[in-house]
Amino acid sequence: MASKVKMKRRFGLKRVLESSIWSTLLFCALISVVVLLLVFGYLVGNAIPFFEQISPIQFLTGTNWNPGVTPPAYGVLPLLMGTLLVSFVGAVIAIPIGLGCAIYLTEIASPRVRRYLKPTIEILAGVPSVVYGLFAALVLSDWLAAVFHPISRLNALNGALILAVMMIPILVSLAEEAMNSVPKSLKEASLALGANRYETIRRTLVPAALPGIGAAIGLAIGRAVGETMAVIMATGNATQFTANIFSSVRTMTAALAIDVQETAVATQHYYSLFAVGLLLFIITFAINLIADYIMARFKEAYQ
Amino acid sequence: MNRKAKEALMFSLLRGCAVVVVLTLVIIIGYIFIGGIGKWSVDFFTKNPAPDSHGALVMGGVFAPLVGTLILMVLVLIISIPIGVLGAIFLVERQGKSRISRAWWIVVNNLAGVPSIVWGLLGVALLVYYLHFGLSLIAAAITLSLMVLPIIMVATKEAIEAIPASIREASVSLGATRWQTVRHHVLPYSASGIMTGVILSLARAGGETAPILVTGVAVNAGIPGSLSDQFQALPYYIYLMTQTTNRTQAYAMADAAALLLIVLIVGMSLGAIILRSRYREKYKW
Amino acid sequence: MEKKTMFLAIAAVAVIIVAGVGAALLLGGSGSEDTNAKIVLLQKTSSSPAYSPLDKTAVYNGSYPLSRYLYLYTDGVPDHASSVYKWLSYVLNSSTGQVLVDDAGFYPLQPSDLNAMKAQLAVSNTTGPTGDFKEGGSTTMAELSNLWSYDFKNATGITVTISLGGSGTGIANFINGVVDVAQSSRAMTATERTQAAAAHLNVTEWKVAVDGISIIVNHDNPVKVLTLAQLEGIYNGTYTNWNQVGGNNQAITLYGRDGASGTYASFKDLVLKHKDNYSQAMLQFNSNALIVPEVQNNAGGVGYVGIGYAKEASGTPATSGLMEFAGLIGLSNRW
Repeated sequence: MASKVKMKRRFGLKRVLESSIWSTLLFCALISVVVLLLVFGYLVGNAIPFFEQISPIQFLTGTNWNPGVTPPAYGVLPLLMGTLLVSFVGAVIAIPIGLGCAIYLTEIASPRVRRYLKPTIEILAGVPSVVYGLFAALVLSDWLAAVFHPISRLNALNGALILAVMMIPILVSLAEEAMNSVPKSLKEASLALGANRYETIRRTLVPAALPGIGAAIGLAIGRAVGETMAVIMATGNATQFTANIFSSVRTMTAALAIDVQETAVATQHYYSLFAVGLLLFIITFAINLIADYIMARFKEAYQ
Repeated sequence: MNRKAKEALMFSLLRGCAVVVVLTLVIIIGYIFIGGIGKWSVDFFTKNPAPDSHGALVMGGVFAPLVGTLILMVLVLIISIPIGVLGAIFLVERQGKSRISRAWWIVVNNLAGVPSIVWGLLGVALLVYYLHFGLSLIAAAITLSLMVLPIIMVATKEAIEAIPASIREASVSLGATRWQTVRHHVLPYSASGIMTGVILSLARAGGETAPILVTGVAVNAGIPGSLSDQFQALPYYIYLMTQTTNRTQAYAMADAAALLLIVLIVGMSLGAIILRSRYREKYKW
Repeated sequence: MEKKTMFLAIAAVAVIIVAGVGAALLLGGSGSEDTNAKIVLLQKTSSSPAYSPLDKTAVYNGSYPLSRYLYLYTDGVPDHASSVYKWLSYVLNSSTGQVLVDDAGFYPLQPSDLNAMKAQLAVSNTTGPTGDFKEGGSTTMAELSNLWSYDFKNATGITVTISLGGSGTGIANFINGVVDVAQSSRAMTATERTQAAAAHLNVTEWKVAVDGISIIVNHDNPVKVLTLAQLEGIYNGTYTNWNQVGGNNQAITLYGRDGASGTYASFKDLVLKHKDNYSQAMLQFNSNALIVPEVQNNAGGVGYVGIGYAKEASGTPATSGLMEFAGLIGLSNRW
């Protein structure tokens, strides 16, 4: 009888301790949820005053970004074009090289090479963006100038190239992971049917890993779209609306970094920056959504 | 071209891709190393930046920027790690696969991809102005912590979810409470994954320039004595060195500081990677 | 057989890459400091005399068209106990702050201006921060304020924390109350003064140095003189080739500052006649020092920078013997 009471008390204490631990965890979860939602809400909330004064159509189709003048111009197209130019061209350069390297890592490299190459590539991923920007501004731009003689030394191609360098490690790690998780049986079946290793890669492995590769590409492009310092230092930041890869462009992220410091709170210029920030968020959200969709859709096909 | 030749050609191309990637690393790190190693000296690490006769801040060393970066990383560690890790544990363990939880993780995943300058914008609006923290260490630290919070949560979630359900089920079937399961079976196995995520996030926070650029970094601050002081930081110092006169000196100092930053951050990343591979070998299922 | 071809292919690719890299390193690299830029003389009209910003008298009396003041802004005139007061009296002192103005490459205030500022300082109307305070703004004044703050700290132990971003940033921060003093290479606009008044700030303007915005072009550009009208046409995009203003057949590449910059604004007022029509093709930089290497490297480049940066760009020494004198009288305890 006494032991039963004792056990009850013991379990009682334990229960209290355990529920207090879960309460702490709940508290932490709530803080993180609330904080992150608040932050997102702040972004949207501060963009609304801007759209009350400037129509979204004007914002999205205007080709002149010049908030400092009177009357101010808030056309986001030059910035959008700048972002697209450097990210897109960067992706076009990075994807073949990154995928090729990933295939090499998974299928062709010997285990010893793989053991040293993988961390090397992950080092590239860890290099801070300002260091890449430094290299782009001081060295890469001179090389490009020597080869292409562009109109301006700091230009979109410079930005695209350095973004490609920044995208490659992400592409390689994620694509490699995707290809590694393809069941061995698929590859073995292909080889058993007489295909050589290259044909197996081309017709079985890569298509099977496509969802993961698609997600990798999406994430890499997302990184490129969101990059600030490297492009500020590499592209010259002219606000012209141009598709010429050899001329200077300004990305949305660069515009934010340049303008946020000089706006006074609660001015139209201030709110316009939140509009640009919101647009950036929407673009990265869309890219993520597409990547997730590709992953989900094709996963069924090959599982 | 027959199949064998085609295979050989393609394999060479693929090898070439790997060569290109390695070469890129070699060239960039090599350039920074060659440009900057000459500036590494005792003075470089112990003196603060000082102006030359013309005013360019290229003399002295990087003591204050280095300390500033380290202090920022410690603050981010204190602020965001407990909340992020513990919060993620709760959300995974208690909420599991519910609809709310799935929606929540979609939000977190997207916030993890938000550009750093957008966090900077939010930091300025919310912390510097609205909450009147002004340009300060605390404003910058909180901004970086916010940026890193979603990343930490996703890393923790993935580390925990990598543990097979069978282990949890075995623990529960033996009579353990939920917390006991987490404490003795989930956490130990995922600890290395969580730690890897933490280290990588701190490295990321330490290397960011854009958020601190607008929330409080200064050109000549000393070691911050309080949370409301301004500070210096290595990434900003590097950025600054590309924008001063006396370019020979400035570029050399930029390279030297970049080398230091690379050593610091890549060192941390490498440490995290080694940690992860060590523990991966330990726990295989 | 296949292995051999494979290795040969890899070796060939590697050799090509290394050769390419090596060649580029030789071609590119930082040889940019060898070719100095040139400062362009400016004339108000095609019939008036042309002046150089290196001509101190011309800058002082306004014959050089792009002369301007450099400013500090505070909230009222602080009393003697305040560290801001000490800072201002340091800056406005002809043997301390004004000497460093020379080192940074600008021109010290003329005696009449200096005395006017000192008279303003004598009548305090507010208390100010004691101890360390924050200043921010103009990147044109960055190196000047570096020299000032470093020397000031050695002399008084007070740290003046400087953050950059451009004059517009400094003024916005000043209005928003996050810095105590704004450093600006342009005067505050009426709108800004209204905003400051709304924030209960008693805007007090301090002239602290004189600058001549200098136009620099590439070493190989034969153009030596430009009229203000030509300069305006170049920067608003009317002229796109140097042969339209007396130079070679070379496309003009415009370098300038970004919107937060006081130099951007001053140039707009002085050259573009307050019209907001800077060419969209102008590359916009965060600081003067970034414009210089671009102009040095681009045959068709033209940029506007503060006089200190132009002196460095053209290889003119920043001071003329004053440095040695300063060293002699013990100001070399700077580092």
